[in-house]
Order: sequence, then C-alpha cells, then structure tokens
Amino acid sequence: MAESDFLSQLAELRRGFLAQLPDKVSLLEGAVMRWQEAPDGGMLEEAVETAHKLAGSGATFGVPAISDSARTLESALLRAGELKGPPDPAIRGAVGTALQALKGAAAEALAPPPA
Amino acid sequence: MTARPLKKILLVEDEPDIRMVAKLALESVGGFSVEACASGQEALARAETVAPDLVILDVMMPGMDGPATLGALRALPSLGATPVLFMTAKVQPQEIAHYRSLGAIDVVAKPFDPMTLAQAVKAIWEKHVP
Repeated sequence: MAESDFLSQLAELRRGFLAQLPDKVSLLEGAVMRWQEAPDGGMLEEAVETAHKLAGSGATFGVPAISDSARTLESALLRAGELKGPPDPAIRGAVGTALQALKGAAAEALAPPPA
Repeated sequence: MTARPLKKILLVEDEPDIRMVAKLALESVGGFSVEACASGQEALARAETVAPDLVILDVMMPGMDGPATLGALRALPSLGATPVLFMTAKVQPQEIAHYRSLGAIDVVAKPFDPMTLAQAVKAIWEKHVP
C-alpha cells in the first residue's frame, strides 16, 4: 500500500475515533456520577474500564491529552476502589478534577482548527 | 544468524478502532498478513486455521482476557509454542515481568504509534525468535 493510502486510512480512523469521543466521555461521566451516587452499585468497574480504554487509545489517534487525562482518571478510580466504603472528599475531588481534565481534552480535540 | 521471518499475525483486540488501526499499521507499514479477532473466544476458534507465526493479545478484554486467552491457546496442539505478545497500557516493570512469567515473549505499550508499531513488533520478533 502506498504511504499516502496508509495516511489517508489512518486519518479516516482518527475521524471515526473523534466522532465517537463525545459518546465515550458521556458514558464515562455517567458511570462516574452513578458510582458517586451509589458506590456499591457496580459502576466503578465500568468507569475504570472506559477510562482505561481511552487511556490506551487517545495518543494512537493523535490526541495524547486524552490518554494522559484518562490515565489520571483511571488511577484515581482505582484508588477509590482500593478504599472500602463511600469515597471520601479527597478521592471525589481527584476523580472530579481528572474527569474535568478529560472533558477539556476532548473539547479541545473536537474544536475546529483556528481559521 | 537471521531470525525466522515473521509473516502472519493473529491480532486479538476487543476495541474496534484500536483493532482496525493496529491491523492497518501492521499490514501497511510492516507488510505482515494480519487476521484480526474481537475476542479471546474468536481467537481460539480461528487460531488453528490461521496458524499464525505470532499472536498479539490485548490484555484487558471482557469475558476471556489476554492472559486467559494465552492459557487457552497454549492448550491447542498447534499453538503450544507460538510466540505471544501482549498489548497493554500497564507497562510498569513488575507488570511486564508478570506477563513474561505467563509466557509472553514481550509487551507492546498502549497507546502505540501507528507509524512505529510494525517496527516495534519486528524488533521484538527478531530479539526473541531464533
């Protein structure tokens, strides 16, 4: 395959990743919110898994800030899981900060390029 | 000594976008033939027919994860000695040592760069496979 074809297909896959990014971030935010409302409801695992997948894919599609912020969020969620009982304010704060950073990275990735 | 050439790869990755970009990169940049599977179960069903030179396994997959898939592949007569690479975001030294203890020859870190993935796989192959 010619390099231009490869780069063209890569760009198409990147567009697909970015198109799905809002849904993935919303899914993750919903899981985090439901976990915070009901820590024993099983949503922590879903949140960790979604954050893990974003951490492992963002930079592959040219958005390293997604990988970095998702990895920070995954770490905060894993710490929360290690502590039994309801999440304390420090953990809630760390998760909230990491989630906001991820949403910011996603918004930046999806913003139209400057004219 | 020249390593046995790497031609055919069985890639197992549950995330569609990562599966597609890895297959594209390995085929287009590396020139390998890649059969892609979405789950450990699918890989087990197809592995003996594909007869790969190398298996690349995502670690975190729903249902049968990477280590479980590796164990099941090892039980197949024709896949018992096929080199296996894990692809994972968990690449702390103790984590890599753990994957090697399970029988993987090495680990490819996620997120990977599509431009260099094939070269990384080739380098691991040449390092570990006589």
